[in-house]
Amino acid sequence: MRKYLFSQDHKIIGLQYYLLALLAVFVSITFSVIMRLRLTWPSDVWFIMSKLLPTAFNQTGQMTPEFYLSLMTMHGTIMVFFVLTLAPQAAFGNYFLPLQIGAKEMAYPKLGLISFWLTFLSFCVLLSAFFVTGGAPLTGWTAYPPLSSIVSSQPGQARGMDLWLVSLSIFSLATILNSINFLITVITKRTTGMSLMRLPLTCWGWLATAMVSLLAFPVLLAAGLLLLFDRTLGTAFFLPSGLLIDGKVISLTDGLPLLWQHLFWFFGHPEVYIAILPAMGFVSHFLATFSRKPVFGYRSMVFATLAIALLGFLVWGHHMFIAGISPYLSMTFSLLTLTIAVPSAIKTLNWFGTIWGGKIQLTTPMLYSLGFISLFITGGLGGIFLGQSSLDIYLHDTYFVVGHFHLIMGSSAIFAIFAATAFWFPQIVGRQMNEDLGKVHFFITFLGVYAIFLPMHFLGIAGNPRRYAEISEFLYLNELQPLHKFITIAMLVTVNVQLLFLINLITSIFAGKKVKENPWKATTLEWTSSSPPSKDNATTIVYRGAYDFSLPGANKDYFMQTEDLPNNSLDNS
Amino acid sequence: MTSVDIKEKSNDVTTGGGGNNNLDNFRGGGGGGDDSNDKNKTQPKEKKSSPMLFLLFAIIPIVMFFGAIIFVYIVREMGKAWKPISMPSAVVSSTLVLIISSFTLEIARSALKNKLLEKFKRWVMISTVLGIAFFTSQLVAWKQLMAKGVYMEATNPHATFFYILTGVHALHLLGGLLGLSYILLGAIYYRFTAEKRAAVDVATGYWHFMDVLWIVLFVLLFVWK
Repeated sequence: MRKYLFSQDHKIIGLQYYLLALLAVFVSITFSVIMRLRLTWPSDVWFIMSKLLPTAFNQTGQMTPEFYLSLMTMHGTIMVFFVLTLAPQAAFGNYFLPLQIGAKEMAYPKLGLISFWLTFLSFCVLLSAFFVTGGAPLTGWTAYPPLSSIVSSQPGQARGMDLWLVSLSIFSLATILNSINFLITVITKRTTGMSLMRLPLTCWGWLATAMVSLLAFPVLLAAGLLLLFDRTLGTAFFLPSGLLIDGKVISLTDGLPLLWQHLFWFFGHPEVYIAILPAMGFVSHFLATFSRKPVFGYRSMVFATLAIALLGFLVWGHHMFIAGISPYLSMTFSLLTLTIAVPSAIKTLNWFGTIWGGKIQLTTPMLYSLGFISLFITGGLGGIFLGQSSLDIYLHDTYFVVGHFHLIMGSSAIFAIFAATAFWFPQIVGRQMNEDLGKVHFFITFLGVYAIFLPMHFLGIAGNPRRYAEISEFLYLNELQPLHKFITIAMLVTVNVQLLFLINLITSIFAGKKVKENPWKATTLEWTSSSPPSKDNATTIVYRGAYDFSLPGANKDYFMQTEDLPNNSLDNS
Repeated sequence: MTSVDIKEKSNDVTTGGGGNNNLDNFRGGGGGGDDSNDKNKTQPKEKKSSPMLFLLFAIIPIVMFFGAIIFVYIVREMGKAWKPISMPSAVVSSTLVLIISSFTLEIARSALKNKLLEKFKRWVMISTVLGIAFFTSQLVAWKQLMAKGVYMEATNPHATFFYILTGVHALHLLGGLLGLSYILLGAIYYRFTAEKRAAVDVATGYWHFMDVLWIVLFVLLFVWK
């Protein structure tokens, strides 16, 4: 119990985070399957589910649109917070950051323990929203007031919304604590010789994400608390006056719903980079390893990472182009948003530079990494459309946005998580995941993701609004129903293929091919320890940068960071 | 250096904030070891976590948190429903008490630096009492406002902000007071010395930060228009 459940070992905590993310992604995908079924076959009657959840279905056994919305809210919340925030940063970061920088442990092991259990608590609180009177909230993960601030507006907006806010407040607190731990670990716990410019890019990703989290999550916490006060203590920070609710006009309160949007997106946009920055780090790392080449432009990669982290704080207004902000402000945010394309393009170019002319090994982690780049570029191109306020006014509330963020934030980050899982599995378990199963899983998922989210861009251009539980009532959308059917079928196939990944993950723990240490011939410090690593990390001195592959004139393919050259002393590092 | 592995466990700081004897090993600065003369280069240097760094990284999110609320305050102040409330007189005494407590705590810290342990104990005690006095005074301020019929209600945003800002600040200061109590206990049992005073430094730093934060909030609420 002490050893596994309440361990202060960063490796156990990392695995706990990974399992929590795995559980969350399972729950969340189930929600999206139900949503797609409701959307595609709206008149179908689901007897079994209507027995299980009587409040979510009407008399004839048809799912209510409100339940669809609460599934949508929970799907978004769980995916963004408990999958995309946890898996790349908290799970892999906790496990591999100390190993990669040569630290014995995180700077504050107890803080890691507290962070995890707070996060777990927040997950339980979030799911409990389904079981209180009225059910889960309907606002979507953005919880815009006044819908979110008025208890009586919808059944789901009662206790469910309160629980949602409490859950996210706990989550924010846990993430802040975790980020403090990450930052201090990187600053103080690097081993001798591990200068900042010798850090693997994975560590730069985790470091930048910790900085972003430390600045962004307190704002969500503050906004969430104010909204909770609006709902429970009768304040009116976000509640405008003159609303007619239940036949009563709300008196002069003078609150501003737009304020919530500003605060929320001040957090919400950096949150996108909290998901994608570690993923970018993984991919840079894996591409170099499997191309047997140094990362092209290491320094520019580091600066691009930091530039993206900084710019992420200056663009939140592009989520609010249709919310009634000043056109001049829209223009500014538009320009700043398109500026992010510059560091993103630097990164993409460097990824191509890294694999250009390399001895490419198409292992599963490499395939997933290449998949990441493909999805990142495709999703990014959609972003160039949406970043322009004039185009966004038409596209904002359509499926174009759904397709865009699922490609760039959802799928590409998930591909990086797949890559990281396959890459580090031998280190964690001492066995390798099945390569054949992995390749089948990669190709079907890769095509499946495109089959699901690319048509959504067309739905958006055709004017299909998002968040609607059914579109059969709208004549102009009837022609789009076959496309919806196609998306749903593609989605069902892709979701089922994920079972391959799960089977691969579980069976490989017991029956995977046993591998020698450092099977990928990687250069970084985590491979110097045994697989699985012993409880106490071994630390050694670092003599060189993280990506010394195929050095000219060298007699071997790669040099670990721990390998000393005769005339390479610590002093001229 | 060979005994590093055994020593390491007891040296490393394993808790945050201000709650562990291990904090005493704090050497200040960025946490780097000072064994630059070490000839043995096959073993990496041991590094220490820095409690002061922890304090810095704790202050950043707190600044962001209050910054967000202050942003909402400034925007709402421009609205039509804004009716400024009159300042409850107890707020002035709270402010004075808190500022004085920062100075007394600084006297205590410099006494510890100069190895005057009795003086250190006395001034920590005074600071803790002043800290408790601040809480009491804030409560009186709340009572004064309520007596005037000023409550936390939707139609009176300024009052809402007063209650929320003082309340949230008090919650954060409670952490500081816990730190002070810990220092006080340590002072009574002579656990701190001029060299072993990381916890004292951190608790004092946090207290000063809370003091400055309160002055900012005070100016925001009652002085700045």
